[in-house]
Amino acid sequence: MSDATDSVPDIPDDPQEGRASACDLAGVSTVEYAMVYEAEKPRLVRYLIQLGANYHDADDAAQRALTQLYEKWTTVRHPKSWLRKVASRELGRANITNENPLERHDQLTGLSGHTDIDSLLEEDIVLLAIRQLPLLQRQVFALRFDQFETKEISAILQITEAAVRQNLVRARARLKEFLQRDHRTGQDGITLELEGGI
Amino acid sequence: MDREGIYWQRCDGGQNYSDLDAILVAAGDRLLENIHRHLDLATGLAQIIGDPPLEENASRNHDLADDSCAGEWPMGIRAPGSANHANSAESRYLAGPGKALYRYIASLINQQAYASAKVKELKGAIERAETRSRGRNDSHRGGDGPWPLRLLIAVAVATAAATVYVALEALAVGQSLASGFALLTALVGAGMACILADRRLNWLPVPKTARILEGFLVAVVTVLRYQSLRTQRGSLTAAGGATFSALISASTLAGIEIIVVQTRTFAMFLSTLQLSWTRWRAEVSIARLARIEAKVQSAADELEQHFIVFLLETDGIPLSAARAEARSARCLISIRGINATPAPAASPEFSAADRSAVVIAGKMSTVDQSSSELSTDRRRVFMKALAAATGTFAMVVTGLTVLHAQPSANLADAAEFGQSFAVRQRANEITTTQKIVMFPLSRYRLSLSAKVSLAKWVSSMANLSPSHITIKGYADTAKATAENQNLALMRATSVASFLVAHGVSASTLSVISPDPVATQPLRVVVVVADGSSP
Repeated sequence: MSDATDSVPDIPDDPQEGRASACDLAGVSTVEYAMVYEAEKPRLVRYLIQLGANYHDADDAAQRALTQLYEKWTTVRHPKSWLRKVASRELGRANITNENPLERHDQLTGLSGHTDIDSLLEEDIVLLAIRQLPLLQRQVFALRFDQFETKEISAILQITEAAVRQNLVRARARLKEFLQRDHRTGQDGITLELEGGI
Repeated sequence: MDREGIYWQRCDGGQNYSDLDAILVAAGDRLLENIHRHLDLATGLAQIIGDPPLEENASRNHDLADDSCAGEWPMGIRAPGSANHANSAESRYLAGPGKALYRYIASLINQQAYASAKVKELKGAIERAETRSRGRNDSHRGGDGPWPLRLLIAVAVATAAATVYVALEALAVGQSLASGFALLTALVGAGMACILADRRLNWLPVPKTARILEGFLVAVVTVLRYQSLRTQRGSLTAAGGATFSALISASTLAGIEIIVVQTRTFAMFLSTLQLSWTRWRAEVSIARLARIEAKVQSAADELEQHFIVFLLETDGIPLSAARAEARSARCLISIRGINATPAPAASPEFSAADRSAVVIAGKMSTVDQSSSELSTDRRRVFMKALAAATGTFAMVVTGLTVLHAQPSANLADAAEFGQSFAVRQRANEITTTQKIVMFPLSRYRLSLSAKVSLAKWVSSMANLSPSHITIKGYADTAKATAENQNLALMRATSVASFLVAHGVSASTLSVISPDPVATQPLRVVVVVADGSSP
């Protein structure tokens, strides 16, 4: 988890970044924000989970990013990319500064923070495979999974497009190798899905 | 291969990763589904914009009868007003020190809902098992002896076979022949007994010839026994042994007949077992539900105390005010809705046909007749206030709208009023109705929730037989006109395909994209005209 967040690229708080023209933003409303929220939050949480976060950390980071998006709604032109950048940063910050005394004070008996969805995630072999990728490959993969173009990924991660393509190819090769190995070792869950043969 | 898979292939320069794509896409979808199940989008959105989430279903046929809390804030969290609610005490508390406790309570309430559903399901299972068991009991012709007594039939057959074997031991050529013949004789005897028992169960007379035949069988076997024993021991012993064996044979035949007549069948035995098992499971589930409810109350108590401390420390308000606030927060968070009483099913017409309205009868002091349009959270608060006050009221709610509210003399009157109102209302509202389906930006595929919502809507429209359904597709705002036209049509077409797949006649459908520049972005509106209305 630490390697997933330590090197998350920091996003400059540049108010000009992604600013759209007034024309583009005509008609943008709270309703649209709500729709973006409902559509994007689950995907954002999935993105952060694929990066290595547990469910609650991912939920918190996504919520903070979406809160910031609401505040900057009129200036953000590409909400999807912007959200992923900010959410990654929020996830990194949360890991460093999770020292809220009230939060600790509030821990109750039986509140381990490890929920049933985390148990589900731990049993997901494909997710496990994704999380074993090196950080950059994981980020590239997760972003591609969310249907970002190479150009967009390069902008989000601040790497060249060639590097994006290279990391993607390597990530897929690794995933394929991992899943095949997993198949050979006979773990349940993925076996049936691989019956077609990779 | 779905769209995402093709996308993957294209991006990888044509390499054949189709199986990997399928696995990854399936895993991604699974993960997304799990996240969807656990995410509390309504509350999250409320914390940011302070309004209820966009109602996907703006239809007047909103299915409140199934879930009167649909579309409302989960756990009854009161959404702050139009002011910056992120600064309200509840928001600060729930987003900060109270987060873990809130999550705990939310988790408990989810468990409570699950346990409650389980109890309901098991009660249904008990009813079904009881009905089945009762049916079998009613059709049972014999006595009420327990089925395990029938296991004695096997013992009786073995005993009869043993006595016949004694008879044949010395006379038959070999042991195997004697054993086989003994077993055969015992089975024939048992079969005869069963046939006679069946006739008795059917209230048919038992023929005398059958009894004579039975006696003849016993006599033959007795004579053979005598012969066999005389060869071995002498006449006196043989006579005694043969008589004793004859008694045993006769007893076994009579015993088999009595057991068959007086005991229950195996199917009844299984029904009883199943009923007992279901009852036991229901008792366990009820006990679990009670435990969860106790935990909810305990956690709510703790939340109340903790919130009081928080208010005193951070806001510095007086203790009495803090107590009142905390009490309010506790109620809103720990109670899933007020104790709303759906109208009793006194009128089959209402309960069976009208699924669009729910009648809430409770107590109140005043009713704000002007509050016909209430957001979901305010409706909840409104109803809670009504329930907490004195007096009796009847209120009819459809979707987000309070259709009518008025004081009543008592709860029965309120319920009766609500039923008649709802039936009248339904007659008016089915003339034209509409359904709105929302889409994410740039997408035209129906989401899982949209599919579920549409499927419910289609089933609720099943008895209307609409003459015409218009599907109006809209697109996004910030797109070129050509793209928008295409996207709007794709959205409308995907809704049309879904409707046709769910039994709506294609001949009644028309697909249009009325406004390419999207005055109502991100949605498809399905307008249904009933009867002769075009």
